[in-house]
Amino acid sequence: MSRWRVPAIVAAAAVVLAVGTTAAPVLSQSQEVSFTYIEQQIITSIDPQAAVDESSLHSAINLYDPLVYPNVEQGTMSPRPHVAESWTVAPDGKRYTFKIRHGIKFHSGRELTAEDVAWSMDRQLQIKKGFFWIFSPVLDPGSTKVIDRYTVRFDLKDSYAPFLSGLELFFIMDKDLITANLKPGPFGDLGDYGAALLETKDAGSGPYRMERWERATEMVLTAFPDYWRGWKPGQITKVSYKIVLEEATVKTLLRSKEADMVNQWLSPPSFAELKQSPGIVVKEDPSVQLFHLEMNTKKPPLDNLKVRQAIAYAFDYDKAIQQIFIGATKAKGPVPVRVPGWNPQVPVYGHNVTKAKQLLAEAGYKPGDLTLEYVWVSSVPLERLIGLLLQSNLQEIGVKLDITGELWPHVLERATKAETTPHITAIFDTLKYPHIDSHTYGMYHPSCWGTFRCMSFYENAAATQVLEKARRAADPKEQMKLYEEAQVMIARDVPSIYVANPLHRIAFRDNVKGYRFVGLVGFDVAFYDFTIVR
Amino acid sequence: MNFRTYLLRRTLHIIPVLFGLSILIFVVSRVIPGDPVRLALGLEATGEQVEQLRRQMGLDRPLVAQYFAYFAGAVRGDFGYSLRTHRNVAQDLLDFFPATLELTSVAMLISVVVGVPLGILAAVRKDQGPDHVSRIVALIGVALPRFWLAILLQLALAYQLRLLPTIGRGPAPPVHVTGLFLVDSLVALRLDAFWTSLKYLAMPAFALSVGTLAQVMRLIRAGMIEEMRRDYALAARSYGLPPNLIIYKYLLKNAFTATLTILGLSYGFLLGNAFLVEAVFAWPGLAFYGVDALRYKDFNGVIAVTIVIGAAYALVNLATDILYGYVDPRVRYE
Repeated sequence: MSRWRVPAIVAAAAVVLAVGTTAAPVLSQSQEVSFTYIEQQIITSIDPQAAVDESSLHSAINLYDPLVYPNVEQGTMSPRPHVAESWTVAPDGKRYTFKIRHGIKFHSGRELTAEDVAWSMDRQLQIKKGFFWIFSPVLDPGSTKVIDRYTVRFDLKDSYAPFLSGLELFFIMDKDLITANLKPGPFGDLGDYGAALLETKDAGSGPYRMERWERATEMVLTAFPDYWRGWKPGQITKVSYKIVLEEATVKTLLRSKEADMVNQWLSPPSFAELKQSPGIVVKEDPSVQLFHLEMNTKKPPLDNLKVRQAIAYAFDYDKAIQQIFIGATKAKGPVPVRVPGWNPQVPVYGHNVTKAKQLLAEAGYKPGDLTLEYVWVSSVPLERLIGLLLQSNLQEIGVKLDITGELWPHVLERATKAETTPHITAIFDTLKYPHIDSHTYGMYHPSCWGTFRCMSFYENAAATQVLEKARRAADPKEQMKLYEEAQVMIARDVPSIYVANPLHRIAFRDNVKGYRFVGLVGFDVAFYDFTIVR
Repeated sequence: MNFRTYLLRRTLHIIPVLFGLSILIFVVSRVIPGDPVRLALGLEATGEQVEQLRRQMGLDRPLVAQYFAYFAGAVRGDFGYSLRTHRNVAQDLLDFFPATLELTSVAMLISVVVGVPLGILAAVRKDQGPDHVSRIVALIGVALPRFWLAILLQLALAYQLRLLPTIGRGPAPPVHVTGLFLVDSLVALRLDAFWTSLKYLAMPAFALSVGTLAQVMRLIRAGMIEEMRRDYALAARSYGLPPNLIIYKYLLKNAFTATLTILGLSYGFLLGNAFLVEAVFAWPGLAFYGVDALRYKDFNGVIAVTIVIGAAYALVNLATDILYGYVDPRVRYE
C-alpha cells in the first residue's frame, strides 16, 4: 500500500513559489484514505467531451477540470473561477476573455495553458458529442483564440445567456498527450481525436488520475499529488467507483461498510429503510428536476386554452405530492424552484373542480364529450400512479383518460411530430445546463419541437420573442428580468401541468463529510470535496 | 455413418441456424420502435449530430445492404460500433463473455458434481430419509427464484458471516490468456489467485446452479429407480457384483441420458439468462451486457450477444448429441 507522507503546508508554499503559481498546490498526506462509491449504471465513456450521463460525468468531474466551476461553497450553481481565474465580457456579450490560472499541471506533468483550452473547445465542437450542443449555436471550430500563454478568448456569433455557465461542462484536455497518441479515424489529420487513448487513459488535470477502468464493474482513481488546489489530511486519496445494478446489493454494501456512499437511483422506500439504519445518513435536497404532464397544444381539444386550464384545475396537486411524490416540492411553473432566476410570481394552479367544470363548459364541451390519451414511460411506475390520479380527477369533470405505458425510445419517436405526440405525456426533465435558459428557451422555444422536452409544441409569438431577447441580452439583470417575464407568459398558457420538483436523495456513511448538492448533475460526487473522519 | 461424417454433418447444421438467427435478430433490432442513435447521443443531441452518426454507422442505407455489410464484418470479427460503450462490440464480447462462460461452467459443474451423487443416494435410499430430504431440496431448488436465493446467500455469507466477498469477480490474475480467471490463475501458477477467484465465484455459481442441480438430482433418481428394476440389474445383483460397481458402471450410464439433455439445454439457457444473478453479484458477464444493450437499444450489442449465445447453444447441443452416443450406443450417430 502506497503511503502519503507528511502534510507539509510550508513545503507546499515553497513549491508554489517554485512553480510560480498563485494557488496552494501539491502534496502529500500522512496516509491513504480510501473511499468506495456505488453507482447503478455503467460508465459508458471516460472521454469528458462525450459524457452525457451521470456516471460518465462523475469520471469527467474527478479526472478533469472545467474552465469554470459551480459555486458549491455558496450552495449555488452559478459559475465561479476555477481553471479560469478571472474573465471579462464585452459589452455586446459576444466576446469572453479568460485569464488562465498559472501552474495548473496535467497528469502528464505538463502545464495547462490557453492553447489547451482553445484546442479542447475545437475538439468538443468537432467530435460533436457530449455537451457540444450547448456551444455549437454560437461557436465554430477556430473561433476560440489564444491571446497569450495564459489568455484565451471566445468570439461568439451572437450574445448567448447560457454560455458562461455552460462552460462548467467544458472540460480541458491535454492537447500534447492526445495529439501524440492519435490513431486513424474520421477526423482527417486528427485521426480518432484521441478516442482510442481515452479508452484506457485520462488526459486531464483533475484531482484524480485513473488507475484502472473496467467498464461494467469498477473504476479506480488515485489522488494526483500535484493537483493545483493542494491536498489536506483526511481528503480521499483512493476511490473505488463500483457498478452494482441490484438495489438489495447496494443497500447491503452500504450497511456492511463495504461502501461509503451510494448513488441517487435507489427507490424512495430503500432510502426510507436506510434512514433507519445506524451510521447512515440520507441527504435530501430539492432537486433541479421538474416532473410535469406535457399537453400537446397542437392536438384538439388541447389546442383550446380553456380545456388545458380545465385539466390544470382538475388535477389534485396536494394528493400527488403527499401520496406519490413524498417529500417533493410542488412545482411552480416550468423552472424548478431552486434554479437561480425562478420567478415566484408565476401563476400557479390548484385543485378546483367547480372551476374546471366551468372552463370545460365555456370551451363548449359537455361531460362525456372528451377522451384523451395519457402516456407514461413504462420503466417509471410512479408516472402510472400519476396517470391514475389524473384519470380519477378528470372523471369528476366528465373527461375520459386512456392510460398507456410505453418504452422510452417509443416515446422519443412519438415526440418527433405533433400528430403522433399523445395528448398528455408524463416527463421528468432535469436542468440540462446550469442556467434558467434550459427550462424556458430549451422547453418552450419552437426550435426544440420534435424532442421529448417540447411535447407541448408550445407556440406564442410574444413569448418566443421574449425568450430570444433573453438569450441575447448581455446585461445579466436584463437577462433575468426577461426570463422571469417569459415564465409568467408560458405558465399562463398552460402547456403543462407542473406537478413537482422531486427530492434528490443520496446515502452515505456518517463519517463522510463535505457532501454538497447544488443541482448540477454529477457535481455533487466530486471526491475532492469529501473527507473521512475515522 | 462414421463418427467423422456425423460430426461434420452436425457442425454444418449449425451454419444455417446461425445465419437464420442473424437475419431474424437483425431485422427485429431494426424495426422495433425508437431511434437508438438519438438515445445514444443524449436527448439534447442536434439533428445534425444524429444524422452524422447515422451516416457513420451506415443506417442511412437500405436494410438489405446494412445486413450484408454487418454480415461481412461479423465474419471478420467486426460486430460494429456499440452505441452504449462507444467501441467495437467485438471488444465488449471479449471482455464480457469469459466472465459468463466461467460462471455458467462452474454452475454446471456444481449441478453435476452435487446433483448426481444426491440423485443416486435418493434412488438407493428410496422413500427413506435421504430421499425425503432430496425431495424437499429439489422442490426448493426449482421453486426458489435464483436472484432471491442470491440475495439470501449474500446477506448470510457475506454480510453476516463475512466468509465470502459480496460482489464482483475479484482482481484479475497476473496473466491474461483465456479471460477465465480460474484457468488464467493456473496458467500463471498462482494458487493464491486461483483461491481468490474461487471465493468470488462461489456464491454466484451456486445460486445459478441450484435450479439445474435440483433437476439433475430428480432425473438421476427417477432414471436410477427405473434401471434398478430392470432384469440386467437383477442379474448383476444375483451374480453378487459389488453394489457400487452395479450403480456406477451399469445403472448410472443408462440413467444418464435424460439428464444429459437437461444439462445441454440448461447450459445454453444459463449462458443467456444469468442476468439476475449477475446483477445481484455485480458480475460483469454477457447477460449483464446484453440487458444493458437492450435497455439502451444498442442494436449492434443486442445482435452480437444473440448470435454468440445462439452459437454457444448450438455448440453445447452438438456436444450433447456426441455424448449421447457415448452413454447410449443405441443412438450412436443415427
